[in-house]
Amino acid sequence: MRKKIVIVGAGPGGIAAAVTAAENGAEVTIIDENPGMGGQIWRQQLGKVKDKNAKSWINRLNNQQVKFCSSTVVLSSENNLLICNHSENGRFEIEFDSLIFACGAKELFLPFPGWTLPNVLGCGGAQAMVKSGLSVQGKKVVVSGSGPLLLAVAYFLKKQGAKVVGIFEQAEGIQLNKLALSLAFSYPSKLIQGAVYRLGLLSVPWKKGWWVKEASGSKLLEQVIATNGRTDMKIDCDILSCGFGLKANTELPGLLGCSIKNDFIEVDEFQKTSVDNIFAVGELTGIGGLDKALLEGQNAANNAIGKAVVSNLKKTQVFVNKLDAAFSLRREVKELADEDTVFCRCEGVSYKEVSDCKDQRTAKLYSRCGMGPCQGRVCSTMGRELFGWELNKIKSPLIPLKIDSLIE
Amino acid sequence: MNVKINGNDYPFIEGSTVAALIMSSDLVTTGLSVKGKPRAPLCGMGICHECRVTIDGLEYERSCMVLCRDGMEIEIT
Repeated sequence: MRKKIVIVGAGPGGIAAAVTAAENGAEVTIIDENPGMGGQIWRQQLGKVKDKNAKSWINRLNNQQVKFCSSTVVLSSENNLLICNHSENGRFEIEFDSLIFACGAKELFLPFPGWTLPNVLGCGGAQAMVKSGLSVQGKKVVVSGSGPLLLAVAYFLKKQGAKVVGIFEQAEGIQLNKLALSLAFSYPSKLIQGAVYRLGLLSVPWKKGWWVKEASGSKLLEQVIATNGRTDMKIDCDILSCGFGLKANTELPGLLGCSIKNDFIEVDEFQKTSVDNIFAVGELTGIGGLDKALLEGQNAANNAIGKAVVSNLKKTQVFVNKLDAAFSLRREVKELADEDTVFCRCEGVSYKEVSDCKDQRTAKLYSRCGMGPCQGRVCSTMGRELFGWELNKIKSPLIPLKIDSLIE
Repeated sequence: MNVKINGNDYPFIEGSTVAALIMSSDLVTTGLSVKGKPRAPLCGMGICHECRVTIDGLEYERSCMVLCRDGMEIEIT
């Protein structure tokens, strides 16, 4: 009998897993809450796959009989049934022998005065919105925060016609130089990629050891203040693209009982989680980007169909650690909020209402923090980063749903 | 091809999401916060729910995850 493999997440990790499983004869279903394939890094631009590598993987996928359930969220699982909900058609169930999670990562946001103003977007968020049709032609954009995404997104936005007026990376130049030096030996292709972005942005000020400390505007964003802690700089802009790195989307694997360690899904060298027949790949197991996700996706699929393939976790972990060290967050960016700065955007809870809370549960009990539609995905992630909050046990439903989706 | 937002026609480019259309339009915002402040999409990838609007009668839809479709009716409060 053909093995039934269900994959959650149609980014690179999920696609690699689907291709590998299907090419080896498994019956494969791939689920994603987005309308299209690609995840974030391979997000399609107005329905078109642009990246060459993505094209070749998606072609391989299209040559197989893989079922793609788009606009679908997973609600829960019972034995070997995955309970799902399609945004229009409602609830349905899929049977699986093995489940592979490739749910990717979300951006870490940090609160600062003005961060709730319209046109303040995440860093990857701005890229996602532009790929989904937001025009930035002629718009003045500031890119800030931390991580390798900043240069990539600035480069992308400039190509889309934006006037990128500044890139503010909170990490010091010396940290980035150290990273560049170490990548030159172990991952030269990543360094070359960075250089391509930099060359495309030569006319744009790229400030290291700088961050945006405030955004302002009457109804929409009009201005930001950037600083290096000593000097401030006021910059007029239409869009702020600001993100402080990535955090794994552990909610769904966590709900299904997969063990979480240091905010990542714990896996062994076969990509197996703590739950039988459930695997996890890509950003879920460590923020390492595309190559790691592709490798782990293939390995998980091979293991799910019974071919033992070992992931070289040590090698991929080296890159994860290098990025982590280079872009570690400075104290100042964690202390940007003032008392009245919004902390929980959904419920309108301020920074001062939660800054003394010892964990997510306390914050929730005292202030409704994390009880809105996003269910703490934004604010609890911040609370963990800023205050070291212990997070609540994950409960279903993970997002607001119609009552008929919850009842059989 | 048009969608209706609060009863008014808005043309869209095929493949664009409702959130991107709203942000590109004269509206920009997808609603008001619980304290009445204007809000617009933040994450662009279904995490923050700031882009939630009513689409064809379905409330609380994350508009960054929904593609525009001819004749679609969107309500922003």
